[in-house]
Amino acid sequence: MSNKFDVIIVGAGLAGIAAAIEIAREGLAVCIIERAIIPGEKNVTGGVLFSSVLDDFIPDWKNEAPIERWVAKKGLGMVSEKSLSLMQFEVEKELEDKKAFTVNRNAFDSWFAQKAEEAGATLLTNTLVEDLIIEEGFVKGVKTHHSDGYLEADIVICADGVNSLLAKKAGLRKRDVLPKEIGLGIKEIVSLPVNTINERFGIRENEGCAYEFVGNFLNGVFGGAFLYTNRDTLSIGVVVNLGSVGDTSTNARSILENFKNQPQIKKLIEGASLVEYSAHLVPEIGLDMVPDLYGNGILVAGDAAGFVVNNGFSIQGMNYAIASGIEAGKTAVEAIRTGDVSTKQLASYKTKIDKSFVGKNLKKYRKTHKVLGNPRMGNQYPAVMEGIAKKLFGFDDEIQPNIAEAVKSTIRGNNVSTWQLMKDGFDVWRYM
Amino acid sequence: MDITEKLLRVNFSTDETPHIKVNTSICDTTCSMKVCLNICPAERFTLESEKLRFVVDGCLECGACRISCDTGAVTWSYPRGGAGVRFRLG
Ligand SMILES: Cc1cc2nc3c(=O)[nH]c(=O)nc-3n(C[C@H](O)[C@H](O)[C@H](O)COP(=O)(O)OP(=O)(O)OC[C@H]3O[C@@H](n4cnc5c(N)ncnc54)[C@H](O)[C@@H]3O)c2cc1C
Ligand code: SF4
Ligand code: SF4
Repeated sequence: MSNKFDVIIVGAGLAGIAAAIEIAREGLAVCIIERAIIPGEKNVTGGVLFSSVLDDFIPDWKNEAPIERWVAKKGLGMVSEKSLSLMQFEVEKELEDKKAFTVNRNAFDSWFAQKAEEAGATLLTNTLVEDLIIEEGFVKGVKTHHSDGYLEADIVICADGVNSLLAKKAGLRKRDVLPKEIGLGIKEIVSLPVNTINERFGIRENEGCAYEFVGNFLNGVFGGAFLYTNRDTLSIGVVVNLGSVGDTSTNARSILENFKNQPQIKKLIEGASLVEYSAHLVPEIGLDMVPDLYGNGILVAGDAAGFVVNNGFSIQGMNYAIASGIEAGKTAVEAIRTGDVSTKQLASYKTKIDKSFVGKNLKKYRKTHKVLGNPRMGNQYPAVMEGIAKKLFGFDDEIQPNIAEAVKSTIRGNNVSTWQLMKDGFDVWRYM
Repeated sequence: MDITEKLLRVNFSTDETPHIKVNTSICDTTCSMKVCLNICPAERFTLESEKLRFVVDGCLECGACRISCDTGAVTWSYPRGGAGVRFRLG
């Protein structure tokens, strides 16, 4: 293997692989360096992949990719100690259009990396990039953990994920990220027979569900839980804000246990056995933590750039990783062809990002994390929903109230003022 | 199910040199919050007779301790290429 490439990409996650495919297709020499033995082995997601981004990029992906189930039901649940209020969207059309699917990263990333190799990219696994080679203010390559491990390139793309130690070394991230800017995901994959999953969730073969939850299992910590169906497993987990876990002295692991023990959730996972336990960080505050995206001879994509949007109904990072990887790849190709890899030329990456759904949504959902960080979302509102539902569906009172009466008496009982409810409702409407 | 049983379901290829080092003298003298006890999803930080104990085997490489510990006690890097956690599903 030659030691000199046009482009080196650090990280064979979705961002890095997408960039490599784009560059290799243009006939440039590109090498992806990955610390895992097999791409995907280090990676964790929820994971629902919103897949429009793949349509033009890998024309036949629907027949080739390792898809668990196509998402046909999406829901947002508020859980209290005893009850679950679920807002569910069931979308037959989405199934036809195949807009989102559940995925396991080991299988998906391996498949995606194979696409890059087929396009002509070099994949170097088992290799940790320890540092960047910087000469006269330009990134010129990387230093790996191997003894003779210097590899040169005109451009390095950092696609090294949420912990991106390289973006910091390159001076693109000016300060360490703070606990309050990061979520910790803790996840279990549990197995159940295919038929049990179909019956329990009311879905057909290949159809899947994606549910997000908030509620008092969070113990006042900012965050949420998720439950997604795979073919013969379920992905169940929580994402909790690190700052909030610290401030409230709550045990992060116990939040997942609380959630699993909530009666309605317990029924859904009953009899399932643990197949794998995992954890991973999630960039949480969107645009407010995006670093400089480019420097002389360097670009940043995916989680390393903080490209994740949580709009309250879903966490999206995989599609943003792929889209930003593609844009980084395009930028690198243009720069190498013009023979200019300086910041001036690479600035077009930011323009491309701003114009794409990545930049637009990051901007649109800039304040959403503030709404989701509102403690009433986890504590009072699930109880309010429970109270209203009980009254309206006649569990509680002999004289059935109308909706306005039910809402009024319930929020009073839960120490929420009408003013707070209106203000929070307005924030939800504005930012989500 | 306790954490050991959960970690038994995870594959690891072990490294000779630990990728995380914790200077426990800082933990035992200047840190009152001990946020790592609540944060580490693999429960790698524990208290034994009021002394902090850290075991790197079983680390899921999430990076939460790197970001949350603010005393400088945690020196964090990835394991060398090919070593560490190997998620079969992820
Ligand atoms: C619990 C959880 C739930 C989520 N749910 C969803 C969801 O439902 N839908 C969704 O779209 N997104 C979801 N996300 C977000 C999504 O998983 C990420 O945004 C996405 O994986 C980012 O991809 P990436 O390629 O940028 O980074 P990664 O997938 O993290 O890839 C980075 C790669 O770089 C490698 N690497 C890092 N450093 C080095 C180095 N120095 N040398 C060599 N290799 C290196 C790593 O091993 C890894 O393979 C979720 C995240 C979590 C944690
Ligand atoms: S938070 Fe840091 S200093 Fe405090 S006990 Fe944990 S590792 Fe030690
Ligand atoms: S990296 Fe994550 S799993 Fe490993 S010790 Fe730190 S907090 Fe625990």
